[in-house]
Amino acid sequence: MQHVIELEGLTRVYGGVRAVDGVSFHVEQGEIFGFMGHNGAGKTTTLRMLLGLTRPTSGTARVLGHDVVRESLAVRRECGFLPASYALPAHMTARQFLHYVAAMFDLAPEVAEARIQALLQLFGLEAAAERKLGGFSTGMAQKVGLAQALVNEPRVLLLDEPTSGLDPLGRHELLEHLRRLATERGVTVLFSSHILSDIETLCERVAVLHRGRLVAFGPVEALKREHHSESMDALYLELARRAA
Amino acid sequence: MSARFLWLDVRATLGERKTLLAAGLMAYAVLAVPFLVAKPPEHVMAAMGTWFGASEPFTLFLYLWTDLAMNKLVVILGLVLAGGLVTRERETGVLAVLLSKPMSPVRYYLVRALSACVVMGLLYVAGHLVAAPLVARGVPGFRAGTFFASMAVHLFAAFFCVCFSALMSVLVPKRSLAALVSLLVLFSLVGGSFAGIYNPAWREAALVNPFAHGVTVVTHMAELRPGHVLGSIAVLLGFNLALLALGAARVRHLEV
Repeated sequence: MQHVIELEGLTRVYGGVRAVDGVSFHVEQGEIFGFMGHNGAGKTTTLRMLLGLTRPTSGTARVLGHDVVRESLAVRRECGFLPASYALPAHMTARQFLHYVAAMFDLAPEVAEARIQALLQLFGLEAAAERKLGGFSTGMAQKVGLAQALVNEPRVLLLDEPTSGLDPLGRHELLEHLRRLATERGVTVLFSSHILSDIETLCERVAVLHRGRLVAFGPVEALKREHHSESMDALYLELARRAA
Repeated sequence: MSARFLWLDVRATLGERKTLLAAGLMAYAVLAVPFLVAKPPEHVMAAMGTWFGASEPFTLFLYLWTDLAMNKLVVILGLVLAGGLVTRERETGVLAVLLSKPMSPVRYYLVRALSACVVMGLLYVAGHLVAAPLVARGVPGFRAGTFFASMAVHLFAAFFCVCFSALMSVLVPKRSLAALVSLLVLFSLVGGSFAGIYNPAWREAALVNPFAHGVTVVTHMAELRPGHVLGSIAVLLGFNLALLALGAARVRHLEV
């Protein structure tokens, strides 16, 4: 069976630093896969390599069967991406920005408008649709960020620290949206985070990075048993201790 | 090339504060220059006669309009519109969002540069359309055909400023340094735009300067032919396409 996301020895070296070092794992159709690691562990670089935004120094990766280097545009057509930190264009309204993004997919205006209307409804942004993004709160901006990642109805979502900076209610809502996307639409989600409770809430399987290297990969419960850990916190600390 | 993306980018740029600033600068030029040419001193008119072979008020107006107002204005507008073309998006982090879509960095860069050119063109043409009737009333012997022919050629010098600023924004890593380099180079070129007129010995050498082509209508007013207009537009188009190609080559392997 072909995996939706497949990494084989993926490596990226900056200067002499191996930001990502021989990482291999795979993600299946319709699952919400947790991608854990401390700040600077290499999660963001890995996600960017999966979209062809950053070139691997060595190794390969495929998304939906497309090579991420040679067929990066085909990968991007099927993916939605939400980076960890970014500022939306302050001079655009939410609706303008979503149309702007939709135009990058060459969506017909009427198709784009229907999808954008549905997304604005889904995220409760209808009332704010004509407001400039510069005035949006962190939570609202994150919803727009997720909406732009969904405008092409992606089969794969790559989310980099999507719950960072959100209040508990905003975090709960976002996690619920992701759960619905996976269960109702069969979207595969690669969920990168260092917030362990979010991973535990959403994901059945995880990959754990430490200083660019994969130190664990598999079902959360199996990893807990294997490392005699009762919680995600304990598991993560144990993995970090062993890797150090 | 995505026409819809280009259109949406033009609309978004028109809504930015920087475009309002650019429009304000254009409005200032439109209103100020007619006052400057209202009562020219004798020695200025004499210089006009020596340089351009004509000392009528319209010659003085077109010279001042082109050199004093438009030449300086397009440098600043080019920088305002295209100075942070990719670097600003990179700094805010939104470049990763945009380039995660199925649009190559080259296509993104070219559409954004073209969009900045469109906005420059809109501001430039609108400024001239507003200025023409104002100047026609205040400048004796105003010739609309020559005025708009001059606009048509110099517009491509304005596009040169956009393309150059866009190139610097991807060539020089820091936005402020890129802006400084753009200003230095473009103002140096502007300073030499009439070098071939001030000193006829430099006439041939001056043609390597795009702005010398941009002011061709002013320098050939006494014997203006369609070839002067079309030839200079073609040369400037070549310069602009070369700059865009360099910028595209630079972003070809852009990593985010």
